[in-house]
Amino acid sequence: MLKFLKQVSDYAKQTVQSARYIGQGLSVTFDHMGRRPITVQYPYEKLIPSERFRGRIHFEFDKCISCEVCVRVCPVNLPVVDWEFDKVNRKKKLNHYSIDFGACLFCGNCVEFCPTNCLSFTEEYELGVYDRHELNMDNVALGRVPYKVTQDPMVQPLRELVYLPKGVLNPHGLPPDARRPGQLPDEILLRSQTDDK
Amino acid sequence: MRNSNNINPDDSFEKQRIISPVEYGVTQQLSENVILTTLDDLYDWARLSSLWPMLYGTACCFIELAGLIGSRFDFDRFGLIPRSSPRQADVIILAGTITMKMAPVTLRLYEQMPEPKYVIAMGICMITGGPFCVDSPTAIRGADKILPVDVYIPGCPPRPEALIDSIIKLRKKISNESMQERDKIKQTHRYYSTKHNMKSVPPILTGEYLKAASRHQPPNEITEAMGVPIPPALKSKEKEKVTEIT
Repeated sequence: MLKFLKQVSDYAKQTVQSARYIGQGLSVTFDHMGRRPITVQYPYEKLIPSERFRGRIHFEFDKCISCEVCVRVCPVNLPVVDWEFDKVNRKKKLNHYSIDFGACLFCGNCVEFCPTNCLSFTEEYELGVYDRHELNMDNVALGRVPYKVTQDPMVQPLRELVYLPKGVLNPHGLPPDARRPGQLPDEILLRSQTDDK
Repeated sequence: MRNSNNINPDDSFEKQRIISPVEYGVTQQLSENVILTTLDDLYDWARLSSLWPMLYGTACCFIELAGLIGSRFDFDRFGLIPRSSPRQADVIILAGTITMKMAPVTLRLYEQMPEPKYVIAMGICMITGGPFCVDSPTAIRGADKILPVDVYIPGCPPRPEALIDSIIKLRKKISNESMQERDKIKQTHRYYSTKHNMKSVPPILTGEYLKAASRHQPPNEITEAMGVPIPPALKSKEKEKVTEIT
């Protein structure tokens, strides 16, 4: 009789133990059920590219002085600068400028070394085409205003990780004035000035 | 002579002409029929919603492609399930650089894919050779020198979102296809190729070296020197030479 009771109590203990063990595992699973998936639903939600993102290159025709520095610093000598020397006015005249994005590495050398800042990066990265010759952009195509993610009505823009406020990992539902951690240089200056006082 | 357009060649351009005369009317072609249009839509929808890409990646662009397999940028939302075998794949996303050594391998993988198949060239190495387009002795200047490409994505490497954008563009391309034109898409003449002056050379590695007898058993002189007893019939003739050496 006693042995039987002991067997029952042993079995009950084992059941309770195994249920606790399964419960510990399931608690991790159910914890995930309450979380929002981190997937960026691409065409409907897009990440806002960061400030220094190296997207499509933008060219201002009027600022170019045809010095060809961009061609010399390019790893593949890519930009095609079609200029001629105007003997009457004794100046270089730029006829045409083109960059083939089928070969551009987006390294940024040309942007960095341009003396007149006519080359800059935009935030466009959606450059897929059906024919690769459409990627050879002339100065008109390079000078177009870029597509902005924040101005597209069909898209919900999401901030990237570094732009989220402290402790927040979910970019949805953020108030628009939520600031990233850290201070702008003006604020550091202001603080140091007030500290000095 | 009356031409079918009913346009009198003597008419000057100042005179008005009907641009689309009534005879053309609504086309009588079968594919414009309502029933087949819906069938075409269904066929195209079924194919574009489940494009299974082959897991192909030679270089850095594959890391961005692998980012799409993860959960942050998920390409399973578009029905893409990566397949390891070309026989099971619909689309090959060429990610990386093709060199002279890898080119026949890539072409073979492409040929092993069953029709209908599509190619997405990801990254500038696959469009024009990219950073290797100027001085490289071995890189192939673009995948479209060896196989036909449907969508090109620039970038070094392109962002995962740019790759998803190109998948959307490929889906748009597929949605325009018609079932009736299925057999017109042949593999020849879809891509540009040119006559070259290269001569075909027999392969260097033929397997002869690996099958050479000396690789399986040391020559008789060495086995004798090692002290392994061998039958007298197989003993080497130049025994004196061996003793001279030792």
